Amino acid sequence: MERELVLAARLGDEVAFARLIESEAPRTYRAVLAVVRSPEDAQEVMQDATIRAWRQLRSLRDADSWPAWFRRIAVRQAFDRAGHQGRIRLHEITLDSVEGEAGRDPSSGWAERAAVMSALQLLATEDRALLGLRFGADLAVPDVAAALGIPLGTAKSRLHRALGRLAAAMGDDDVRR
Amino acid sequence: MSGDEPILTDREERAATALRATLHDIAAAEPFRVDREAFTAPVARKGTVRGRLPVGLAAALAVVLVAAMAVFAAPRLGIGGPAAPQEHFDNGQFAFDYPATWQTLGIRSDGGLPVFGTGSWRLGCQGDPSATGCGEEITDVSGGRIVVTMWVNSGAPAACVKNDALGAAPLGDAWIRNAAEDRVFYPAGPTTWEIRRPGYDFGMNGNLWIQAVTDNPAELANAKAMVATFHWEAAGDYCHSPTAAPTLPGTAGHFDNGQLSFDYPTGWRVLAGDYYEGMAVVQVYAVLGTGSWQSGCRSSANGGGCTGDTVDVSSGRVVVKIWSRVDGPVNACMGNDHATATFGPNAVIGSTYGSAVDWQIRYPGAEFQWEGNIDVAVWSDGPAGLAQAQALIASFRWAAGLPSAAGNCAQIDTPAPPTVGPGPT
Repeated sequence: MERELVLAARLGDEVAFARLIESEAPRTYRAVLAVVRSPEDAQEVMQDATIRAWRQLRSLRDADSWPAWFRRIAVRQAFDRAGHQGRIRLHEITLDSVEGEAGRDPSSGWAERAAVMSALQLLATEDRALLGLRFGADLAVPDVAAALGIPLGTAKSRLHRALGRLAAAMGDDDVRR
Repeated sequence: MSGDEPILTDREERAATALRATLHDIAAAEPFRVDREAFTAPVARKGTVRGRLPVGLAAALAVVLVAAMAVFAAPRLGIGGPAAPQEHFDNGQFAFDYPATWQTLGIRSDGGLPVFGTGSWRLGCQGDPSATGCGEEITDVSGGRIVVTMWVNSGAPAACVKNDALGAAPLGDAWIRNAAEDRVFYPAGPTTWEIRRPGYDFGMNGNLWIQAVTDNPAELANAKAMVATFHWEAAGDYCHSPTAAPTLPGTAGHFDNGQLSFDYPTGWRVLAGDYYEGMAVVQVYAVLGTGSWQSGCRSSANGGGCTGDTVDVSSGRVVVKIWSRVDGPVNACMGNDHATATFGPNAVIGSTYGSAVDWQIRYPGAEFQWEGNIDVAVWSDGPAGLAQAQALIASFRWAAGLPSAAGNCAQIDTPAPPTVGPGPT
């Protein structure tokens, strides 16, 4: 079904393309979110990636590779955004801004969510992308490696390193709980 | 758990769990919603109406489209024509005329087809080639200029699988469909035509697409006139399995089609000449040798499709197939300039092609794995046949004056790492 949608989209069918995006976007959005750390920025990245994918769709030779292809475009866009982002957005994901929103119960874990997002800033963009793809998009490590264009062994070692740094940034002092 | 999944420590697992929950929760609270307007043209487009309008209205519009195509086609069918001086393009597969005022602006990496016009054009290859390939084209048609690109369709439904023709009109030798008008990403508004190969349907792999980008009605008329002169060099079903022994261009023992040439033993039989294998859009220039060979491609009349060739090279015989991919890999701009062998002056990379050994020769200025390179597949069960095939590769030459593919991806090629000398002892 997805293949047919890709083929139709390549021929200019915008409805088919929108369905493709709607199918793939949620998981990719979560990976992008890890890279740019701001829902607002992540949504802009996804929008840019969508436009770019539509524009370049005819360069996609293998219809079956659509999800990975779109994912790479989005992650690349997120890298670009993160590079220009600096620290100006960090305030948007602070404890106060998240916990203070109406309708959210501070006891429901949002404090921890905010702490995680703040901790992400201490990681390199590449590590955030790797973690986002693995735990946001829920991809298997080989797929993460493919998405980032790095060897599988490198992905594994970076995964350990990135998780260690994230844990340290979150205040987990390696004491078994 | 897969062996490719690293085992996490408790601490890593805690961090991973927290991160996963965080990303999922935030994404659920502030989800991304597709903004269709972002990639929908501000004006009604033919590609849009197909998916949104009732069938009856869409059909009516298709009739209008066909009629419009016929109107635009009429002046090209002998009633009139462009008075401006014309140049002639002919690559052995197809030919057309174009205004002498147009220049060759570059060469596309996906198929090596030229880009014509009066504007500026270059292939972007921006950023990480593994991310987006070389699909980003940077075009400037300001001041009433024009850029005309063309490419061979790939990734579409397999050739030789019959599809119903979409709205189309005969135009000269070709059937032409005005595929789309996209005014979102090209402010000047490109017009795109799909020209199907003989025996093909629209939407198939292997068809040629031509796109004109201009806001100048006169130049758009020139582009239409160019399209109207288009004709394929050969008629017939490209998916037809070649059976009759053809005559190759050149002389006995020397192949020369004006673009590429090579020598082969005069005792070899010509098993097949120039034809296309539809499924993968492979152009086969010649199949030669002393063994027997049967194409794995069936004609569309028999269902179409291509499987592996049937080859018998027992008793020291050899079969050589000279071919080229029209639909190269997406990542055509990755650095692939590392030969694994050299025959005569020709550096090659080796791989397998079914049960054959395959060596690839680069198109001028191209890197390995690019479209337009030439592959020589060799079936042989002995060193003698292999040596003959390697001698053929050693004799391989590109014709002088072919447009170079160099520079298409220059901006992303990474320089060779510096040579590291011996360290302090």
